[in-house]
Amino acid sequence: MAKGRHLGEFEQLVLLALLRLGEEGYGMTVRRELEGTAKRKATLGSVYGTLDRLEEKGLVCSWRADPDPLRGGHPRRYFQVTAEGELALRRSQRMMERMWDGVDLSADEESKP
Amino acid sequence: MTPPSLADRILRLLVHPEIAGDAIGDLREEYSRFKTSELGGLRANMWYWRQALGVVSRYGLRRGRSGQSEGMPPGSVRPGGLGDEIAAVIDGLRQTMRRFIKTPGFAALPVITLALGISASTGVFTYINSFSQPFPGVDGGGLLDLYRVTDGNPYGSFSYADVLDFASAEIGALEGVAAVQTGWAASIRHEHMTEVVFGQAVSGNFFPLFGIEMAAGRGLTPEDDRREASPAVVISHQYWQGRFGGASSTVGSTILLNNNPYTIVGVASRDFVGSSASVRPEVWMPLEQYGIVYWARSDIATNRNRAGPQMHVRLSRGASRNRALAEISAIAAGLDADAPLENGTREVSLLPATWIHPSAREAEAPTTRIMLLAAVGLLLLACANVANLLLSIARGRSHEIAVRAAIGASPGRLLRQLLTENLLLSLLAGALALLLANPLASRIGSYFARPSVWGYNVPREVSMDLRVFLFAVGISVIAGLLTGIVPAVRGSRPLVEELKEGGERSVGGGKVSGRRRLPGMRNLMVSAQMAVAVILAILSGLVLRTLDSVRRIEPGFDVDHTVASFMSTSSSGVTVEERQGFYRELALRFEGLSWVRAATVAAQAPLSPHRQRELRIDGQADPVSVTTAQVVPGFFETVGIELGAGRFFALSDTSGTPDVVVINRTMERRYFGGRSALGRQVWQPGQEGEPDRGFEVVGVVEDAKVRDFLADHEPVVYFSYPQHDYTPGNALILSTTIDPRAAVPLLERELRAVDPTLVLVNALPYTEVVRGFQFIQRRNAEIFTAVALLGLALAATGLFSVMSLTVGQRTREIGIRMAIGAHRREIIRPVVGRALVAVAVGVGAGLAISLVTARMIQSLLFGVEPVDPVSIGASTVVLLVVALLASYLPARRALRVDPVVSLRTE
Repeated sequence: MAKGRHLGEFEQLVLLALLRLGEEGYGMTVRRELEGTAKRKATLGSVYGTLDRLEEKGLVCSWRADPDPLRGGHPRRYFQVTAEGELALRRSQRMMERMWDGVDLSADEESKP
Repeated sequence: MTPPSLADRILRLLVHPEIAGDAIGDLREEYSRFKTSELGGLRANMWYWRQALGVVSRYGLRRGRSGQSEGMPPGSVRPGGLGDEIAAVIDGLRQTMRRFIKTPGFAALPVITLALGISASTGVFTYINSFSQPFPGVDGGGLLDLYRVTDGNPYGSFSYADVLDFASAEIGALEGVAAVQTGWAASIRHEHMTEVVFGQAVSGNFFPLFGIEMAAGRGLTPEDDRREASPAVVISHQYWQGRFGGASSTVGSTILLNNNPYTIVGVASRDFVGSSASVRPEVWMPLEQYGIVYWARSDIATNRNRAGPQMHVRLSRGASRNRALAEISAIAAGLDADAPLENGTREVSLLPATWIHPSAREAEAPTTRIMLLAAVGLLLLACANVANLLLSIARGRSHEIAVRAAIGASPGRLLRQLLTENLLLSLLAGALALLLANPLASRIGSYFARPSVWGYNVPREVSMDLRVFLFAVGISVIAGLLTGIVPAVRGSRPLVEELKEGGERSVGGGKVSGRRRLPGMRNLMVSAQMAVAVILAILSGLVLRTLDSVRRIEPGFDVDHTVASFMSTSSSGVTVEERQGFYRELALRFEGLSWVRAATVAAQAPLSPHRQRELRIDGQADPVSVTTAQVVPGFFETVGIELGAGRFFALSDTSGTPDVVVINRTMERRYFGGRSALGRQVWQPGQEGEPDRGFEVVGVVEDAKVRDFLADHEPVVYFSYPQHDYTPGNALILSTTIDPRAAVPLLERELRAVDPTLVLVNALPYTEVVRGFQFIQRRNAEIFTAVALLGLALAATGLFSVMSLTVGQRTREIGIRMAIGAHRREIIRPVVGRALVAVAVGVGAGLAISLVTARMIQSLLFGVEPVDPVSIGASTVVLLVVALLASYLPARRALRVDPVVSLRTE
C-alpha cells in the first residue's frame, strides 16, 4: 500500500463517526459522536483539522447546505466518506484484525512470571 | 443566555472567513442545545471560548484550510483586513525565527552587538531604579518617609520627643508612625569570643506596621518598647544562620549585648535586611531600651533641638499623601506653639519610602546621569554598527525582495516585514541583555562595599523589577527601530530593473556596482560610530586621569605602614576611669612586639569622623567651629605627621599640668594671620556657667588628612587625651615593621590574648582605608573605561566590516584594473582614503561634541580640567591608530588576491 494511505487513530474515529452519522455528518455532530460513542473528548479545531486532512487525501468530500438562522446565518458544511475512504477504513480494520489475531490480553497477564 | 460575541469576533479576525463561518455556525448550534441542558451560562460560555480558541490555534493566521501557502512566496497576501496584516507579520516572524535557527551566525552578530548596548543601558537603569525601591521584605504599599525640612537639609529628622508626639497623635490619614534609629554597634558576648554587631533601634509598632515576616518567633511589639519591659531583641536571618546555625533554640535564648542580657524573641525573614541600605543590621532593639543604654549620657531623649530617629509612616486605606501631609503639618504647628525650636519651625515633608536615602540619590545624581549618557552612547554606537551590518545584508537579499515586490507585495508591506525582523532581532538582544544587566548593576553596587575605619559599608543591593523589564523592552524596541529603519527603507525599494538587467549577477548576491548612494549611508554610520567612540574615549581618559590625581593625594601621614583598629571596652568590665590606663598599657604592650615600630591611642583615628567644636581663638571675638582630635603623646610620631614648629605632646602633658594643644598649619594660617601661633591661646567655651578653658598652642604640625581623604586640608586642633574629656570607643593605631595586611591577624590575636571580651570593631591597614575613599573614582574609572573600550571595539569592527564589504564589492573592479596594469595600491588608496575621510569626519565631530560632554562630567573630575589635552590627545591617537588598522587590514587582504582568480569567480 502506498505510503500516506495509512490512517491515524483519530482519522479512523472521524471516518467511523461520519459513517455512523450518515447524512448528518458535520463538524459539531462528529465531535458529539466521538464524545458520546467513543468516549473521546475532542475540540472542534482538531475535528476540523482532521476532516480537512481527510478531504485533501480524498477520503471524504464536503458540501455546503443553505444558510441556517440557528447558526447565525452560517450554512452547515456536511462531510461524507468517499469510496476511497471506505477502502482505507476496511484496510485499517483488516490490518488491526490481523495483528489482534492470537493476542489474548487476559491470558498474557496470568502467564507472566 | 447568549454566546460570547467577542469570541466570534476573534474568530473572524484571525481565521479564514470560511473556517470562521463553519466554526461559528457549529458553535452556536451546539450552544443553543446548552440552553435546554443543565449546563449553566458561565460553563457554556467557557466551553464556547475553549472551542473557539482551539480553532484559532489551529487555523489562526494561516491562509486557507490547509494552512500551507503552497506555491505562494512568503509575504504575499490576499487582499484582506487586519487579520491578514497580523497574519503577515506573524508569518514573517516565524520565517525570521526559522532563518535564525538555520543560520545562527546570521543573527548572532547583530544580536550580541545590540545586547551589549542594551545591557549597558539596562544595567545602569537597574542601578538608578534601585534608588526608588522600598526596602526588601516589606509590604511597600502606602509606605512613606517623614522628614523635617530645614534650610540646609531637606531630609532632616525630628527629635525623639517630637517623634513620640507624632506617634501618639490621632492622624486619620495614617495607619501608624514608626521610628528607626540606625547605625549603632554593640558587642555581643558569646561563649568563646566577643564580637561587634550592628543594629537598628525601632519603635514598638515597626514590625507590625511594615508587615515584616518572621522566620522564627515574633517581631518586636509596642509591649517591648517600654522602659520597664523585659529586654527583647530580634536578630537577622543571616546572623541566625551564621552565628547560631539556624537552631530553633535560638528564640528564647539570652545574649549579652554590651554586657546586658537580652532575650531573642524572634528571627526576621531572610528577605528583610533592615530599613537602611547603608547598614546590614544584625539586631533590632526597642527604641526605649536603646535610649536607656545609648542616650543615658546625653539629652537626645528630651532635647527637642537634637535630631532623633527617622520616621516611617503608612497611609490608611484610601488616604492620600496630601491629606496625611496636611494632618501631620497641623500637629507640627501645634508643637511649634507648645515647644518652639531654636532653628526655625517644624516643616514636614512626606516622600515615598526608599531603602536608599534620598540624600544618597541626590549625591549620586550627577554620576548616574553621566553613566546613563555613556550607556546610551554605547547603545547608539551598537545600533549604528548593526544598522551598517543590516544594510549589507539587505543588499544580499535584494533579489528575494525584488521577487516579492514583483508578485504583489507593496513597499509598505515589505517595510513592515523588514522592520518586524529587526524588531525580533532587537527583542532577542533585549532578552540577552536582561541576563547581563543584573550582574552589571551589581558590579556598580559592589563598589559601595568599601573599607573604612568603621568597617560596615555594605554593597548596594540592586534587583530587577517590572520597571527594569519594561525599560529593557522599550529600549529594545527603540533599538530595533533605529537599527532597522534605514536598512528597511532601503531594502523595501527593490529595483526590479536590477532584476531585469542583473540576471545571474544579481542572483549571485549584491555584486551590483558599488557606486550607489549606499556607501554614503554606510560612511555616515562609520562617522557616527567614530564620533561616539571618541566621546566615550575622552570621557574615559578624564576619569582615568581623575583616579590618578586622587591616587597622588598626599595624606600627610604614613599610610603605607600604619594599621588602624577601632575597639570597645564596654563589655570588658573596664570602667571609664580605668580606660586611660588600660589603653596606655595596651599601647605599651604592642610596642614591645617585634612587628610593631610604635603604637598609639586616639579617640578618633585619622580618616574617620571627628568632632567639631566651637572654639574661641585668641584675638578673635566670635567662636569658630573647628575639627578637633584627642590624641596621646606619641601619636604624631607613630602615624608620621611631621612637626612644623614647637613640640609634640609629651608625657608631662597630663591633667595636672597646664592645658596645651597642637594645631595644624591650616589652622595657623587661617586664624593666626600666618604668624606663628606658638604661645597663643585657644579657648573652649565653658558649659553652664563654668569659665572658658584656655589651651596654649605648644606645637604646629604639618597638614594631614583628618576626616575626608579627598577634601582640602582643614583647620585642626589636637587635644592631649589625658587633659581632655574622653569619648567612648578608641582607636589603637600601630606603625608596623611588616606589611600592614599581615599585621592585622597578628593584631587580632594579640588583642584576644589580652582579653577575649575586648571587642574589636574593625582593623585594617590605612592603604585600605585610603582605597575606600577612592571608591567612587575607581568605580567611575572602571565603568567609563569598559564602556570606552567596548565602544572602540564596536567602532573598529564596524569599520572593519564596512571596509571588507566595500573592498569585496570592488574585487571585480580591482581584478580588471590589475589585469590592465594598474598598481594595486593605486586602486586601494581611494577606497581606504574614503573610509579614512569618514573616520576623520567622525573623530572631528566627536572632538567637538566632547568639549560639551566633558563639561557635563565636571562634578566627577578631580585634579583635571574638562578640556584636558592629555585625555583628548591620547584618545584621538588611539582611535586613529585603531581606525587605520581596521581600514587597512581588509584592504591588504584584497591586495593579495590574484586578479585572474577574482575575475574567474565572477
